[in-house]
Amino acid sequence: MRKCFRLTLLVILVFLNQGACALGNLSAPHRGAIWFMNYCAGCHGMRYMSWERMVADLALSPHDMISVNAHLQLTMPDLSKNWQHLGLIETDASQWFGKMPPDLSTIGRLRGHRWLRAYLTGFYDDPGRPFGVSNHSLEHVMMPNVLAPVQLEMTPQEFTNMINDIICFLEYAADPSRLVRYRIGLLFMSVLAIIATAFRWKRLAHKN
Amino acid sequence: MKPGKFGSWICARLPVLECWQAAFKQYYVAKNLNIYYCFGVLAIVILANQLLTGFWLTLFYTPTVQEAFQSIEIIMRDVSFGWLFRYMHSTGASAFFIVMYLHVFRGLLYGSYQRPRELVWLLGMLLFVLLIMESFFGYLLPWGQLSYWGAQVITAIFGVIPYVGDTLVTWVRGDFSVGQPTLQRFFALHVIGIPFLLMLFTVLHIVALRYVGSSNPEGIDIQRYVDSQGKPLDAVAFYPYYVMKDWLAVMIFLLIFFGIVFFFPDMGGYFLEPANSEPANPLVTPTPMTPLWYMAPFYCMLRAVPHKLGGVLVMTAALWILFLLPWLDKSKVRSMRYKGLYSKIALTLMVASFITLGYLGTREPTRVTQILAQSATLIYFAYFLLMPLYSRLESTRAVPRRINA
Repeated sequence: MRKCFRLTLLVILVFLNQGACALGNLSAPHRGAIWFMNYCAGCHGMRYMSWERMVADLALSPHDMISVNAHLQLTMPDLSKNWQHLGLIETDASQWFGKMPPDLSTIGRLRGHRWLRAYLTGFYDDPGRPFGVSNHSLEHVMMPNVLAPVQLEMTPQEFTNMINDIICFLEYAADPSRLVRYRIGLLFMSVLAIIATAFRWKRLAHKN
Repeated sequence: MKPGKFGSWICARLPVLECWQAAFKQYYVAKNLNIYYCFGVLAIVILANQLLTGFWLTLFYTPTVQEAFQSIEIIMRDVSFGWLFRYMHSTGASAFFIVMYLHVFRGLLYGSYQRPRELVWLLGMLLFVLLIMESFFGYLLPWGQLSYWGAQVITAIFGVIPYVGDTLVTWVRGDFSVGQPTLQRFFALHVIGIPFLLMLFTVLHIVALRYVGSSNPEGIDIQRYVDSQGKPLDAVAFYPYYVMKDWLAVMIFLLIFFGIVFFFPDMGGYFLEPANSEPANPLVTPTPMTPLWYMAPFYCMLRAVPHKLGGVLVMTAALWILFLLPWLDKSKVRSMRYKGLYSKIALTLMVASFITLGYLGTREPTRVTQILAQSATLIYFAYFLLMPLYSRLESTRAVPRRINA
């Protein structure tokens, strides 16, 4: 009876903490990392994520980083050596956008997947703005709608999948332990449950 | 179990066996203790967890304004199992308050604070105040937005004291506003100052309890009926019975605790607040500005009173009035099982108001919720201030002489 209760509790906890992605999901953040490098990393930094960690965790290759869109013809610097320079430099950002685009290392925790989804899909035309767009989630935002050209080349489902992948990546970047604590947790708690149950049996046997 | 050679050498020089006998094998406890009585040992387990994981975190944490936030990100990402220790520490902090509130509730329910256990209660209340201080100092350390602004707001509270207020605020902060001196001294207090006091008063709290003996849900004095060897008739030895019971409680607690640590460490934003995921910015106040869930009831009381000094006095009084409880309760019986209707209603209303205040404290105030918060504050104080009256006037049931568990 008690074991069932614990199992139910566990399942509920696992279910509740899905975020945009199931814990331990590798493929979505993998694709999201590639989207991020191609469309976000030009302006936004990711100072708390380490390149080696990301490449190892998400099984990325340098080729992945620039392979998304053949039209982009990117020649990127060796990111394993230049990771800390991701995004814009302060002077350029102030001149072009008025402020530095925020670092996105912890945005997955700070805003959560619901806000991020609403933001990325919430751009609308606003001729009065410097870049011609505003956003339902963040009024007077200085970010242009970077994904608009991509959206035109995709079906709505493909676009939704891309947004999902980006959000999964941002959630992973905010808390890389998401990939492993699920597995370690199950193992640890199974051992703990066995110890607790074995002890209970021993106690009952001792009583008898 | 007879000690071997090494054991005998130690026992000839330290009173190990005598302490074991007195504290465990020959410490007699009523046989009817229920689930409410396991929160004390859980508090010890959590204290040990906080000390160990906290120590481990100090190996990697940097208490400077420039590097504090980054050092925690490094712990979470680059240090082996850093995320595990950080989550154990943050979950442990919230778990400590859950366990502590339930432990205090047991005291209210079964009259554990009554004679001869008043000192146990006072030491426990002191531990409660120390725990609040410890959590407040610890919360600044990540140097997130809420950390900085929470410290700014709460240290500003001292400013309401007439004449010396502003000087006191500057003295506490170490500067005119929260900054490097504040972070450094809060780090010292959190890592050394308060834990030392917590450990000292925990030991005194337990020793004081052992000296007078534990109470029980019936409120019956088990020492009244003893056998020829002086052992109470309605008691069992702490070892093995309550060691086994506590062990099971610890195992179940650990399962729930690690379930949260591994699968749901932020608890929907209540254990680890999302707004604290960005570094402190002295130029931007986060909205909404809310305290952690366990401080929410007291913060709500502070906010409910429209007057600044009044709010501070009410919040402080809400904490310190708990110290007076043994002398406010004029009831002839200890346990709620034998108290009258007034006490039962009063306790139910007080718990309901405390939970309501806690919920409202995490929300932005509106006109309606402010009235609700003010009413809940009045009910909370009524429980204590009217207690000398209703506990004396109500008709209680006769307490049995023996425990029929």
